[in-house]
Amino acid sequence: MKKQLNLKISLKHFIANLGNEKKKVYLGIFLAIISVIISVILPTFLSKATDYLVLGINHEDNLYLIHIRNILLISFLLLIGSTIFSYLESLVMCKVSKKVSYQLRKNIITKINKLPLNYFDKIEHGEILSLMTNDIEVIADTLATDLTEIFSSIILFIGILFMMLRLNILLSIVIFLIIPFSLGIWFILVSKSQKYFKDYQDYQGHINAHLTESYKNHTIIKLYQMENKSIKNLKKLNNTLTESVWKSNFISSLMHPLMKLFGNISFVLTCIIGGYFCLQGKMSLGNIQAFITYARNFANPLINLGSLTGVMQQLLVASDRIYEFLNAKEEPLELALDDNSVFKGDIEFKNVNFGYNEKIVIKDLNLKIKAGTKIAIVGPTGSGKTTIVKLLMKFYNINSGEILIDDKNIQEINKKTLRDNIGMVLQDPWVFEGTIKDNIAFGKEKANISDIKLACTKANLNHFVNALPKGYNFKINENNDNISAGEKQLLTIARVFLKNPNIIILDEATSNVDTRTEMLITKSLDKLMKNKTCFIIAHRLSTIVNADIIIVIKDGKLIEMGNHEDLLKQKGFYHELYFSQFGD
Amino acid sequence: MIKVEIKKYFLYIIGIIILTIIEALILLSLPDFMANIINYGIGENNLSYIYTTGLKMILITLFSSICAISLSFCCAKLGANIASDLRMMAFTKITLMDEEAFNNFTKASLLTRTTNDINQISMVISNFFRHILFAITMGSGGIIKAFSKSKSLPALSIILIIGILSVIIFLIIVFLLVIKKFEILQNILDKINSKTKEILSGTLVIRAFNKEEKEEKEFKKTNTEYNNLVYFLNKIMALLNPYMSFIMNSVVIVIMLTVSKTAVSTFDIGNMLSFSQYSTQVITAFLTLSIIFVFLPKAKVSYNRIKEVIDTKNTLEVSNNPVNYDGLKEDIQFQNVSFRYNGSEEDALKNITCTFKKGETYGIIGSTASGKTTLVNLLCHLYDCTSGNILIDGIDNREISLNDLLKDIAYIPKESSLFKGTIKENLKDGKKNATDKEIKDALENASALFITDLNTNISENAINFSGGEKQRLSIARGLIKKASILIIDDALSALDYKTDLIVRKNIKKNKAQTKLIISSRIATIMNADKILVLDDGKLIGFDNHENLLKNCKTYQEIVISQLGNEALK
Repeated sequence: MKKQLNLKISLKHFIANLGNEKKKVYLGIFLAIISVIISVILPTFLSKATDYLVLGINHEDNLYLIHIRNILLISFLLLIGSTIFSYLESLVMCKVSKKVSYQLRKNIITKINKLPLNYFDKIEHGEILSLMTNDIEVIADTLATDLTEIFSSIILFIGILFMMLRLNILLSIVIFLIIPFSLGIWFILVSKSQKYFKDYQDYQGHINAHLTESYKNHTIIKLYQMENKSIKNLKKLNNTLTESVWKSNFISSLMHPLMKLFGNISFVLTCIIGGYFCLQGKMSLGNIQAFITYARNFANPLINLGSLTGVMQQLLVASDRIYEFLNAKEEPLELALDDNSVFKGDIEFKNVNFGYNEKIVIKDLNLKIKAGTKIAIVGPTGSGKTTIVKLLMKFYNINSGEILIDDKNIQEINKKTLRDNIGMVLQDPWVFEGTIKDNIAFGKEKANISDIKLACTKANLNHFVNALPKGYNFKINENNDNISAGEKQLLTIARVFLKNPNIIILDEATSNVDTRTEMLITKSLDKLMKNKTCFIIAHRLSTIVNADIIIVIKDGKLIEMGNHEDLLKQKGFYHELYFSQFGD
Repeated sequence: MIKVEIKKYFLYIIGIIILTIIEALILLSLPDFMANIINYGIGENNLSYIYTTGLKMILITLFSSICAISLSFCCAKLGANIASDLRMMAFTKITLMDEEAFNNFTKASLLTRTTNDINQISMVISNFFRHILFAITMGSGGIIKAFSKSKSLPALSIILIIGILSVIIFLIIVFLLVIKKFEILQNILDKINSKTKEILSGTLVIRAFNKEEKEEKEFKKTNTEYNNLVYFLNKIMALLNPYMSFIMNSVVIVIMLTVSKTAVSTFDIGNMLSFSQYSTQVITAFLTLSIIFVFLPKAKVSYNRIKEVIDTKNTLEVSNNPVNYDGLKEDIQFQNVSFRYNGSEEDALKNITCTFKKGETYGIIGSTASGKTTLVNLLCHLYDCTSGNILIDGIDNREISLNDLLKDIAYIPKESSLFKGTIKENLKDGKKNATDKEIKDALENASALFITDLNTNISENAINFSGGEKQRLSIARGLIKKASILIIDDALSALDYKTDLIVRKNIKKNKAQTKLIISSRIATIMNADKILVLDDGKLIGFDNHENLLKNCKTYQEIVISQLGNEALK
């Protein structure tokens, strides 16, 4: 019974996704039920009016006319009531849909910020994007229109059942015999189509990933003449997707004709059997008339439930995926509180070991740095240089050993406090769509414009910004390509100036810019590094010869340490590295 | 109109139309059968008439179900196939766009165009054929039937007409209220997409600056904006159902009221009952029609957005009778080449004249935005020169088939763009039929021997490799191509000096290859045969290292900044 168990879990996930809106959903369901009950009663009044109409014709009596008018007036009032309740229900559910989709989107963004960094090694960006748009959209749409319909359909079904039993038990039983039959088919279709819906969502994700990759690498695809390969790959994915799309759509839309068939068959049976009863004198013509109205609508809630199954499946698959993402393991909770403490910048690595995915990256690292020291980390690509600073920033947690700042273990320091004390300039400057001003204020939230301008002056960015149209209000576009790489890097340096921490990390900060800009950047970095504890990772050895200490890392191990002259004298790995830059 | 192969869908469409009409006719005839049972079966006490008519009803009901199931099949197939074809069409178009055309779109918007927009259209098409066509047939059939029942009581027709009119007016008002908003909706959805992307790509920086909350707050703005709009639209759309059922039942009540005043015989009541049934059917049909308003505005926007992609024209000049080209024999000449990007106010390259000889190594250096990448892009004929010519062995590069030309250029980009798949697959992008030995050689030449298993998977964005590893794999992909022109766009300066040197030595081994190496690092190019110094799109030096040191001031500055004053000696 694995299928049903899954359905149960999926339902649980869906309810979990509703969050605080559960109560309003109940209210919506309640309103829907009232509206349905009224609409079930309505036909009885109308058929009563018909009866009086027949009597009126036979007796030519004005009394009946008054009766009819009264009944029709009550019917009209009931109708208004049903209409109002039904719209109120929609309003409540639209509001729920609005709140839930808002909350889910917000939660996904918050979640992205809380997941450990290596989570993103496993998941494709396209998949998270697809959660954000496709899956939430499915949930929002269903909540707004379809969810309460399940309940109102069930109530409608029960209400009609009751009304039919009141009219004629025997005839009702004949009609009811159809139910188990239709329920059986309903279950078969539900379980059959589940696989295709899952396939459908999966392949939509794969296709998204392929599209994203292709658009990102458009130029490379052109230059390597991979157009046909890329198109062929999409075609393969697309064929599987199309197959699952039409199958899932076909199977779920089968409900509609099948349920209609049951409706029509019960209609026909009522005509035949009712006709027979009528001839026997066991049922009046008026009763048959009313029974037909009910028997005919008897199928409607089942048809509705039928066509809702497809929607519900999509809903459950979508909420499963969102639930899964929202409940992925987060970074461990922090015991330490954010105490805004400011560190001087003494740093010590004690027997630090670190590895991920069974790969050892840092082996038994010991290092002691006094505040204000400039330390350069060199080594071949992939030797673990960047990992060292990432450990310091608690982007990853070490496996053993300890890292101390001002003699305090960073495990006992709140992440936020720690990162507030560290400024970082990376190889790929990250900017976002928005004004230059906002981009720089990223370093410090409440910075005013004069602080920002000062930071820019220090970072040698000021004259660049002034040359831009609208200056500090110049908008960086979505592709971030209306300012140069050098300007972007200066901008990220300005951010750190604004933040003004005591510990600075420069991770290949100048490798993506040209020399002239590099000169500007180097100058501003020199200013930035003054009297601070600095970690400098660079390929260009000219940028690190002036460091107080240079450590050489190879395969995760510290192999040489000292200043430039010392290391050259040692004629070791550093010596080799340094002279390789002067050519063959 | 987006041209699609109608023929492919022709059978489905014909099938759908015929099946819809049959199903509707059958459903419309059922009340008549019922009336007959009452009138002739019950009225005339004829049990066998009831049975035979009942049997007929069951048979045609079964038949109508077969029609409906076939109809579902056709619609599901049609919708899925149209989406599939549109997706392939748009993607093929985008993949084949030249750079100029491609740059007109943001990548995020291309993504929504090829996913959401296409799904939207396919949904509307299958809905149209499944429900709308059916509703139209039922509606018009119902009106005819209803009017034929009301001949003795014309007042009933007037009630029905008023009912229908009030429905139509209501629908028009709703349509006018929402149509504009749907267009805005899609734009905000794009914004949500690109903001999410931004946050995903900036994870590291956002955490380093403790700006998680700020990002969340910013996202909140777009999120709120989107949700408010959706809420507004939903509120209006939610009016449809209650309003329709109100009108439907009101019509029935008013019909009864009218009949109660005027009816004179049982026959009138019989007609009244079937008239009410048909009226209900007509209004139900309109209710179904109203779902057009949920889909149509969205579909219209989606359609335009896809059409915009498909209608985009490539502007790159390609010769109809291209000259055959099979590898560089002599040299590449830039003759007074200038280039300006579309929409830009300034030339990115200004009057460049220079010659690259076969087999030599050329370095290209200059500050950011000085035109280095633009220069090699022009050589690859990704763009047309705005003025001047690029001659390859004396032939204008616009005369050479683009296919032949690109086959002969190995390009290693600044950002190592690897593809999802195995290492082997990625290297084979450089050379389709490369053997394992060739792949291993290329990896060795690119100093990428950290790869032990050629079937190692590269995930999306190659996140399972470090920056340096990615770069070396990308270099290997270029080297395996063994084209006669090698272009390295700043890919070496991301490597450490030692690796850089090893790779350069390996590249040099291929004597026949003309190498153009863009670098921001002087050490990478100072041993080149000639170095091209660009500044602000102008060629300000083209000579070897020693001569440039003497004659080119900008070059001197660069050297001093990187190697110190001692390098001048």
